Amino acid sequence: MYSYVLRRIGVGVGLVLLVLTLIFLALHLVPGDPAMLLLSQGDGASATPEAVARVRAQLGLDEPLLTQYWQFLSGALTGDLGQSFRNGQEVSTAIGERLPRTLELVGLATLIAVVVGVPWGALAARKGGWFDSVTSVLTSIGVALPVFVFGSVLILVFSLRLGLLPAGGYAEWGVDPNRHTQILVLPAVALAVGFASTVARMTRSAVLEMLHQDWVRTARSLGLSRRAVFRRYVLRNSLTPVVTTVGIGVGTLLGSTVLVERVFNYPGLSSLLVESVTARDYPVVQGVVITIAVLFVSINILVDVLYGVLDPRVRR
Amino acid sequence: MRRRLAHALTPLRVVALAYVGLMVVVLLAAPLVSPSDPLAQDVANRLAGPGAAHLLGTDELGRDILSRVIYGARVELLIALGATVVAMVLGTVLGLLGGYFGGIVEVVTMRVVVDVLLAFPPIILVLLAVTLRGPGTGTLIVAMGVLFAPTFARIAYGQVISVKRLEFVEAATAFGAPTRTRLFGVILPNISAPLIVQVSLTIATAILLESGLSYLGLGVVPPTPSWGSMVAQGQRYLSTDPHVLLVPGAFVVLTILAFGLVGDALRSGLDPKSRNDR
Amino acid sequence: MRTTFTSRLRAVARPTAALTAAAVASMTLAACGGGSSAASTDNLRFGLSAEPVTLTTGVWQGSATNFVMTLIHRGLMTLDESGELVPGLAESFETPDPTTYVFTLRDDLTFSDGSPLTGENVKSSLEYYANPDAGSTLIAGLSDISDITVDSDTQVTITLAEPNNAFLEYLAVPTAAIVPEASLNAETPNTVGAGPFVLEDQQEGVGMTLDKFDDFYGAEDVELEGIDVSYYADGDARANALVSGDVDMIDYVTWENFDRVGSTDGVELAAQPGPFQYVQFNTTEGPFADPQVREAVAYAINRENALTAAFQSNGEELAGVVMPDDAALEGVGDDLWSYDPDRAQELLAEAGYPDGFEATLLATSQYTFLQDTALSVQQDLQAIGIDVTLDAPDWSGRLEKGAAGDYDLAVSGDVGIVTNPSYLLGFVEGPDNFNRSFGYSSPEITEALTAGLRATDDESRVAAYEEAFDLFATDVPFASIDTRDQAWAYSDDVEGFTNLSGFHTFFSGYTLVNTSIER
Repeated sequence: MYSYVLRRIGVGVGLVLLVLTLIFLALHLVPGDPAMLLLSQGDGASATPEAVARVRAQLGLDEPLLTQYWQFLSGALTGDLGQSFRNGQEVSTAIGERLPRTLELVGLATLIAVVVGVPWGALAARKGGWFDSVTSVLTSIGVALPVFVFGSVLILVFSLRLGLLPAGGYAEWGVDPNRHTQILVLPAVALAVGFASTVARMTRSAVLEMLHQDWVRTARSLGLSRRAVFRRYVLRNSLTPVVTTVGIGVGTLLGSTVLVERVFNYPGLSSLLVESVTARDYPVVQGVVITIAVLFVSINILVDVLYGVLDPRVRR
Repeated sequence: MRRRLAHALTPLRVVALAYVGLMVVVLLAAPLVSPSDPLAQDVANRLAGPGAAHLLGTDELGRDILSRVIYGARVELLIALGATVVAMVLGTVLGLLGGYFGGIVEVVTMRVVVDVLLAFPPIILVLLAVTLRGPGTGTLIVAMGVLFAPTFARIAYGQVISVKRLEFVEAATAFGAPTRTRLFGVILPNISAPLIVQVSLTIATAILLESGLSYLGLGVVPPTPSWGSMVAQGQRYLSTDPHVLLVPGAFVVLTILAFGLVGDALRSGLDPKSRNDR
Repeated sequence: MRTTFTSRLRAVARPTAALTAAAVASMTLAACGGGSSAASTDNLRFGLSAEPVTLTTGVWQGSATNFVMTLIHRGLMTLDESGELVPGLAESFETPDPTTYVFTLRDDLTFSDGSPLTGENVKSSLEYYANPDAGSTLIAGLSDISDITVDSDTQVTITLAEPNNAFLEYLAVPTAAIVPEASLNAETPNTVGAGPFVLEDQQEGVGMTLDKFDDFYGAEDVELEGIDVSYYADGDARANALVSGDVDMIDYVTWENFDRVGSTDGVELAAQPGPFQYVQFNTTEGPFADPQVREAVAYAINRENALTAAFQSNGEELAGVVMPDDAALEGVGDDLWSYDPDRAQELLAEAGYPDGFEATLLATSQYTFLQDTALSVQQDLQAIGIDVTLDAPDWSGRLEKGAAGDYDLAVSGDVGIVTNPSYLLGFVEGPDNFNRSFGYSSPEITEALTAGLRATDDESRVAAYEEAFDLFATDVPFASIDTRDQAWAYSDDVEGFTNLSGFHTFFSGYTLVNTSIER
């Protein structure tokens, strides 16, 4: 067992190192000079070559690639991800601020998707008929709707026309909890629409599949009411594939928050990543990518180990 | 077989199939059916609403939106199909090899390649590809193809694992068929159904992703029209001239819807276990 | 065996359950955390178009950073609400002769860290910015300084090697700030200044809070208690924030939002012509090495179309160069070219390209206005037979390709650091950069522009510039397209802010000392 765990951790560390090296190389291959960019924001007079050279030296970009790689690697291994090129902030601090915000958004969107999607899908499966057809069309549209278009429409209606909710931005919970919550509503809804549709569809087909099972007929023949069978047995047993869908969906959401964060000017991890690539802020890009890779790998290991504990056959 | 076909083809799905068919005809015949040059600017008539001169109005440079939608369909499908083919080939090969050989091959394909791809945030893959190679159709096809490959790899892997010990594979081995034949001649045809279903879903996802990437400025290079870039451009005029966004947006939604429905039809047609349809 | 696949699926699904748990945990964390500064209702809530980079005085770091500099820092000179050059930290100045400036500083000047600001700080700051190794963007204006003498704590005499009629204007550039000795190095962020506001708190990626600086020389006239800056990088998001009342004021209203913002009740839109757009050339090789071909481009551009396409006509066509608002220079540098496709075609034929040729036009995917300008130019050039392919990398890629000369043509937008025509020197001499024609230099134009800069009377100034622009018209260092309106917008509650005209629009933050807010 221990050797299995150790082997998985070994593979995981290798994976992270690989990701780390790939992202380092890719970033340095990408055209664009962070120093020049820092000095030219698109509206200003151009920087002198001396200024660019000075900033390059300041950022350590004049060192040979191998030296930079070594510094990055040894730093990353000791938990030091360096400082942002743009504002000098510690990368770990920046990630510590941004990650919870994105997780909060994703968490809320997931909650909305599950609360709306599961009952809706179950109802569609049970009722059938026109309700099922309408559901089928609506969920198809929900899945097909570009999130930034829907987000813009939400802003247009709820912020600009009705003035009910803020158009975007961010407020710290500790400063203004009310506003913090208000700001979250629209982006979470925008993010949840596609997800809720997927969940509803999945629930619908899982429930349908259950309804066809022999034991349902058996239960009915035993005199249980249709409603009792549905509530007590069908729904509960249908939820396993739904949970899997939700799980995969959350992973996808983490990746797709970038559009929502852009539309709603929400300072989350994805927007940090995009801004940093655009600004060639290497340390931040590397930091964010590593964070996500470590999260992904360590959780996978944890799950595999848990399976190993629960099911000895996996241990091979 | 006929019963299964009838079962798979609900009226809605027939409409979807017809839509996809019509779309293919229109984009092949784009120069014939398009009312004008999709690139011709007429700045004096910018942002004109739908009317007699321009059936679906004009965009911010006064270009005919209908013509751009028609030519945009070409670009859109080229990217979506291209990305899907790349993903399918790459993913299937990875999954086949990993599932069939196991051991070190499995580690390399499923762990190293697939897991590394999954461990990268999707947006960074595309961002890096676009900044590295410059934006454009080719870049998008490759980047999105790589992005979608793990899904195909996992499906193929799971399928191979479940069929490789079955009699007909053992039989092929016993008859001395070479590995290549066993992999691509015997196993592949028997695991292709779920992969084919995944194709139409991937096309739908690719269209959606393309519009998102265009919104972030990572899409096709102008002036080439693509629906995604049209939607992204139109987003700026949402409150003043909504048709610039709504027209291409409607086509994005309809097309994704159609491919989703075609996927459903394929699933019920190909997968005897599917009983979800009425 | 099918279970293997599902268990794989779960392996993907499972981590996310853990992630959701983490999300809940982090929400609780966020709830406990909390920012250090409470928003005050007397503060101006400002939506800024970009997050400022680490402040480095002396260096031009873009308009968002400049805006913050106008609030935190002051130089010897500043701009008043009508855009006039007026003394800043200096109380007054005298120019006994064209190369000598005697500045008298105000009494009791203090930096925000409490240390006194004296003549020594003026000397060390300006000498630092005039040193090429410091990477300062102010070199062009300060390199004429031959000596700085500190006569007393409150008097400084600056001697120039030659007369320079842009010198005072350079001292009013927000980055020409007087800062403490300790800030004058590459490592220290320049957050200590002597401007009207003090940086109180910074939340990276979100915003910053500035408080009124009570020891600012003009503090008694400053009405704002503070400024809560939030960053809104997206133009629509920024406009939405103002229209929906989330902020009181924004900079850089994007052009498609002019009508919407301008027509909103309770919101004012203040637009002024600002930066100019132009086509730059790679003059090292190919057709554009030939001035006649460049001139053909200048005649081929349909400026009206370009202005409409990129800026919804919010701006002015520009067929010459942007000149300062100066009665003596009225009409100088106007109309060097016109929209005349026939003339353009003739020029092409004369240059030996009667059938045109192929070329790459560098634009960027990141700024839509540059992209739309490029599309318009592309069509104009197509019309005279130049088959143009667009290259639209992101902004960083655009900068690199521009600096490396990896293009035939490029569209650009730029401002001068100063409105004085000497800003044009950067386009005709010196090292290559991303924003000027690659490989281009013209000693003749340089000489004429320099003569204008050194001139001590209007007559010789005008003569020098007229000569410069005669050369400009046929040598075409760049082909102008238009100037774009640059707008700030604010709620009716905000009084006293002025959008300064011309290149100074980016220094309009100076007028926040006169601004008040009544809710």
